[in-house]
Amino acid sequence: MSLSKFFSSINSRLKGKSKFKLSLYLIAILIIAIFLIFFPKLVTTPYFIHIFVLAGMYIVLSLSYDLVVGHVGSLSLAHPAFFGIGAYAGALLAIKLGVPMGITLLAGAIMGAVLAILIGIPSFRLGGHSFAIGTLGFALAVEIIVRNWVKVTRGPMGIPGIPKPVLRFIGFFEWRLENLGDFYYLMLILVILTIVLYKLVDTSRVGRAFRAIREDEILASANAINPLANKMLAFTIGASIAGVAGVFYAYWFSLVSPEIFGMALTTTLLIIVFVGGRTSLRGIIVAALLVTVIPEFLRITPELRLVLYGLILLLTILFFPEGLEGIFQRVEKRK
Amino acid sequence: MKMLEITSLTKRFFGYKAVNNVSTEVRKGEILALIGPNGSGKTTLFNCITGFLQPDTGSIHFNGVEITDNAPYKISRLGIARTFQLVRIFPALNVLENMLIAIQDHQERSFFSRIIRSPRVRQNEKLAKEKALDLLSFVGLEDLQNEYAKNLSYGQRKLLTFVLAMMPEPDLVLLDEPAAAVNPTMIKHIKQYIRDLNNLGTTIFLIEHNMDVVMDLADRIIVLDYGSIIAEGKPEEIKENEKVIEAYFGH
Repeated sequence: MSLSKFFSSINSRLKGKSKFKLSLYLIAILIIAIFLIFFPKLVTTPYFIHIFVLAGMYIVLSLSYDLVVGHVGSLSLAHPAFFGIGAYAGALLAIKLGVPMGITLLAGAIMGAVLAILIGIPSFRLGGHSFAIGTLGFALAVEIIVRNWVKVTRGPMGIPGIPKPVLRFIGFFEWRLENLGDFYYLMLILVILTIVLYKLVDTSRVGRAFRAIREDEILASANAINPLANKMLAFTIGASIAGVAGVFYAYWFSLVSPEIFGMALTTTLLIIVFVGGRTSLRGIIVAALLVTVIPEFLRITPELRLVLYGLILLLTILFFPEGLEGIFQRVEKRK
Repeated sequence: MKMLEITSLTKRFFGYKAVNNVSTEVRKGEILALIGPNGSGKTTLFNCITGFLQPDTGSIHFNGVEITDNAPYKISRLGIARTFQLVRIFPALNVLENMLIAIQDHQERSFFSRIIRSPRVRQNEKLAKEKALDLLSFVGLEDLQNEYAKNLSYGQRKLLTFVLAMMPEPDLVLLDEPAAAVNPTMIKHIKQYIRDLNNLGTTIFLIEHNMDVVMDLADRIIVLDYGSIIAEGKPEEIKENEKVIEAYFGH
């Protein structure tokens, strides 16, 4: 095959994007990658690194949340519960049993998945709005248990003193996560892994079945698609990612407390997914950055922040129902 | 040969018998029409066959296998496809994606091999695309393959639901009013498509109010009134049937 044929086949795959645009795209990705790799060395205040780690966590959580809310279209309110349980599981395993980080991260994923299966099957049978209430009930129950099961969770006091972790790969390599920069790099890895998994699911036949169920569950089931099995898959993947994020959080803050189960997290995730645009990777990433970075720089008080979030959500749904993704698409069309 | 066998099927809604002790069959290779006044239980019968409603009594067998009370997706997997009276499509997906959804779970269903894109999944996807384009050009929608389904006109949507049902090459297709609310030219086309598919071996069971379409297409006709079968036979027999005339036009 001649070189020009090769290029034209790439171009047709990119639906008419020019070679010039393709190289611009690659250069942009390269610059962002270099920036992200050297970011902790460039900034002097740990505060900025802290914000970026936080943003990374929101990207991981909202992408996993979008698999449920955006893809299969089920409004789950249980996401903070999976996150919180992951955090507590990580904390307890690390402190009481001295389990190494590699295994606690895995345990977070498994905890999330198992609970999602236990909660998902009865809740999805309720369907529609009742599903939202069912998952909310679960989230509230988990919070109450954590607050009151003082023997294990120390109740409202939370669990402090989670040791700084060490990541080991049997003899090959040992990584002590001591300062914020180390957590930044681990977060970066988690974000990349989440994006890869999200994209793999999103662009596969699984993602297509998810969308079909969201669009018209009756038509989907008339076409051999098992709605419950597919919803359970989305819910389980989402929950296990949230569980891993929870374990990360426990090590990062070295303290877990019942506050992490609050509704505030659900609200924030909903805003990120809807402002970004459901099922839109780029939209959700940008929205997650906006929601975490802007309030930090503007130093808005938490009370006002929620009011502002509410306003943004309302305006988005009214005027930009497709969120940032809709705006991106309009800009692309104009070019 | 019996393909679908319905035995003393009854479906009640709050005591009202929407389908009342219906026993009938669909024979392999035929075009069977189900007619009757509004509210006579035609769509309810379709919904019982395809698993969207659970009948109160009676049974349904498909190719000798009992399918009563099975979930819709299981019935679909056995080879019964259907369209809906209120045209259903996946609006925010494009036409090609709509078509691909209709076949993917008939080909393979392993979540894992789908996510890692096993060779079999890739092969299936290729076959599915070829077939989708074939069917789309069969009804003249191939130029719209990248269009969002929500941007199609009513007539185009109707054609899309029709080829959607044909994607998995079902043994039996239930069409719920394929000719309703479309213009005469389109009706002619739809009639021809149904005939073509029947000639290719697909058994067709359809609900239709347009008598020209019914008389033209059907090998046999079943007439429902107040949930019960009042007549069953060839088109020319049904035309002459006193009970049918009474049910449609009153005294």
